[in-house]
Order: sequence, then C-alpha cells, then structure tokens
Amino acid sequence: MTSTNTVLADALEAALMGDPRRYVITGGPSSGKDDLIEAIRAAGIPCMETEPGREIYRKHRKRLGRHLRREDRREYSLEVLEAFIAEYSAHKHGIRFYNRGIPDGYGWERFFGLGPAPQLEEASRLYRYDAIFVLDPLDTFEDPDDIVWAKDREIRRVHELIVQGYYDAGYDPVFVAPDSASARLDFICANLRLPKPSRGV
Amino acid sequence: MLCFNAFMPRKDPEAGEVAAAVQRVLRRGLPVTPSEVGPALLGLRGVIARAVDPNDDASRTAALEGVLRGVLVRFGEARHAEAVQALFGLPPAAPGQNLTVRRGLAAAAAGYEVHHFRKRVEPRLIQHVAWALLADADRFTRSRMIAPRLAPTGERHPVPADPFAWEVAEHEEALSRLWSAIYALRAELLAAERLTSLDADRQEVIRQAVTAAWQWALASTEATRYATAFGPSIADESEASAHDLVALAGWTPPLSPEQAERLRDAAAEAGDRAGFVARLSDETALGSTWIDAFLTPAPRPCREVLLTKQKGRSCDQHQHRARRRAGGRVDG
Repeated sequence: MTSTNTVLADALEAALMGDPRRYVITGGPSSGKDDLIEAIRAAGIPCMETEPGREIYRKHRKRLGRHLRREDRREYSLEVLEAFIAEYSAHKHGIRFYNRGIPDGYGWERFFGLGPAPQLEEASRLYRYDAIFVLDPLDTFEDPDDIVWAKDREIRRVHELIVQGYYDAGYDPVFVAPDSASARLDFICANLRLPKPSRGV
Repeated sequence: MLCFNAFMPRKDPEAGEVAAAVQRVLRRGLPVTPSEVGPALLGLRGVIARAVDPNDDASRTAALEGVLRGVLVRFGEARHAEAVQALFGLPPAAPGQNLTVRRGLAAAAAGYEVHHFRKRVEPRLIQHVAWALLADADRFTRSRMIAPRLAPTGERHPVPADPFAWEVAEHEEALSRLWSAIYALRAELLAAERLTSLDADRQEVIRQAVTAAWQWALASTEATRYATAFGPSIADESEASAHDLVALAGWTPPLSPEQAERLRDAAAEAGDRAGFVARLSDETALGSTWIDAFLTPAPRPCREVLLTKQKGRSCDQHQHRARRRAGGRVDG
C-alpha cells in the first residue's frame, strides 16, 4: 500500500534507504489495537497485518479439541515466539510497525503463571525494536453502577502484565492515551518525527 | 478441618505506609534498588503479580520499577505529569541526579518556585503516586474463592479477537459454570439442613439428602474439571483445590476418596437425578454414610460450648445427647 500523504510517503521512501526501524504497537485486548493497525495500513505505512498469535491459537485449539491447559501454553507460546522472530528477521529496510512484539510473550507467560522461557529471554535480548507504543485501554470497564466484570478486570490485568513484560525486556514504552485511531496515529508519528498522516495530502 | 485463612485475599499495605515508602524511593529516585524499598511497596499485589519470581526481592524490585514507571508516565494530572516524572528521575531529569537537582527540574516543569513546590506540591504528588500504586494493586486483588460479581447490563459484551481475551473469556465461562454448580449444591445442602431442623418426614429428608449427593457429585466434577484446566494458573495467588472449592458450598458428610469417586462416576454416567439414584442402588454403605448424617441434627457448638463453660458440662456430653435424641427419632 502507498501513502496518500505525499510528505509522509516521501519520509517512508527515504527511510527505505536506511537501516530497518521496527515499532511495536501493543496493549491488552480492548485497547483499540486493531483500529490503529488499520489506520497505519490505510496511511500506507508498512505494518504487520495480523497478530500471528491468533491463528496459532486457533490451530492449537483445533488440534487439542479443547481449551489450552497449562501444559499446552508453553508450546503455544514458543510457536508464537518463532512467528514473531520470523516477522522481525524478514524486515530488512525502512519503517515497519508490528502488531505486538516479542516481549508480549512475557505478559502471556506471566498471565498463565509460567516463568519466562529461555528462548523468550534470548530473543528479547537479540531482537530489539526501536520503539514500543502501548495503547492504554479504550474502555474504562466501568458501568454506571461501578461494577467491573470479572472478564474485564482480567483484561486490564493482561494489559498491565504486557506493559511489565516490556519493562522487563529493557524498554521504556511510550503510552498512547485513549483516543480515535487517527489521533493516536498522529501522536505516534509525531513521536517518531514522521509527518502526521492526518495533515493533508 | 479446612483452613480458610490460607485462601483469604492478602491485605495490601495501608495508604500511609505506601506514601512513606514512596517518599523513601524519592530520595534517590529511579531506578529503585532492593535496599531502599521496604515491604510496603514490595508487598503490593500489583508488584507481586508482575514479578517473575514473587518470592525473590530482586524480582519484586524489578517489577516495582516497572509499576512505578508506568504510574509516573501515565500520571493523571496533565499539569504535573512532567514534574512528577522529573522528581523521580525520569526525563527531563536523569538517573543518578540528586533530589535537589530533580526537584529543581520538577518545580520548573510545573512552573513553581522550588520552595513552594517542595512544601506544597511535592507532598501531594507523592500522595497521588501512592494512590495510583494502591489502585493498581486493587486491579490485582482477586481470589478464586469469590464468585464473580454480576451486574445488570443492557449492552452486549463482545469478546475482542485476541488470544488473551479468548483465554480470559473461557476462564470466566468455566468459573461461571463452577460457581453455578457450587451454589446449586449450596441450595440443596441448605434444604437438607432445613428439613432436618424442621423435623420433617424421614422420607422427605432422605429424598433431599440424595438430591444433595447428586448435586455434590456434579459440583465436585465441575470443580475437578476447573482445577485441571485452569489451576494453578492466571497469576492467581490463591491456589484452591477442587476439594476446597466444593467445600465452600457447606458441610457435607465425610466420604472416603473411593466413595467420592463413586458418586462422581454415577453422576457422570447418569443424565439426571433418577439415573444417578439407579446407578447407586446397590451402594448401601455409601448411602448410609451420606443419608444418616442428614438424619442426625447437627450439634450447636457455639451455644453448647458456652453452656458447657457455665454449667461445667463437657461438649462431648451435649453432642452425645444430641445424637441419642436424633437416633431415637430416626429409628422411630
């Protein structure tokens, strides 16, 4: 896809001449990640389309015919890690956004009471991203009676564990406040000193 | 006897303790080191849940570092966000700068004279950081031994297409089924005790006791399924066994492991209560163990103990008399 914003397109073109620059978009479920990824792609910025974890999860469930138990989660986690490493390594020049990154594995493993796998620790050391953008949850998960559903509390916990995973991996994530996808993308681009996609054609 | 204390949610440190501990962290700023953080911060649930090894202080300290950074970078008050970050050593300050330098940068960032900032603004910022840490800890306050809260809703609650969300939703599905079974058992046990207390017709008590046994078997099966699929998992601090979960429904007659297994098998094979009863028709000893217990009124320990103290009678004597009274009624 090509950017319709000529200034941005020029910047992306220029970046293609240089070293690869990898930026992660992450956050828990309900953080607006999919909308932002769509906005990134619509702006013509190279981006990983789908998070590999989803398909791998579906595949594991289909194979097992049931929920992933504790003993299955490590295997799932390692397969997702491999997919992330492949995505990382395939990128050679210019800018690319990633729908979640390798250190998301820390959040997954901690959420399920697993210690970080040595493969994850090693990959986090070897494959470094240039910036991490954490999308804070869009939903406050509070209803008018101030009751938080168990599932939503868990989702918020997942979010915090993902953030911690990036701190553990030695990153200082940039937090992106809840907003529209285009406003968030503008914020991210400004942070990366890229032209804002919403600013004209 | 089951000790419930082991499953009670751990109490987080008090707000005052946390604020004092944050004040101590402020002296040297970030990054935090194990020597300058005490139990008030390392004991926060949010810190424990994030730690790779919750039993290791160094691991908890690393987790605390992440929590603090997250809190500071997402500081709610926009006017003081940069100031509070500088105060603790994040940009515009730098790691290793002393508090005087950091405070000067923080005061400048917020547009205050430095003495005013130290006296009036800084204590409030520390308090805010402490509250944010406690609010974070609250998100991690949970116990598998407490049923999920429900609330009326007119809105659809879609599950995001995300492996984390799928896992979380599946966990809540299992949890809902588990608690549904536990409360159903609770209802049947209460009904059985009520009929016993009412001195109801013997056949009625027996019928109810059998219903309770069937429900116990269903709840026990559900609890075993839950514990196998999810426990220990989901960063849960209270690891309850299937037995502990079912015990929450209330008192049940003590069963041997074989008897418990027999009840579960019968419930699993049978589609309903009638099928359950049919499969256990030859189990006389098991039937007696379960049913006779409900035909016997439970002793009232608290009052009896008090009376015993007053009148010098032993508790055993009271229980023996209660059993004799009940025995007469059953046999008659």
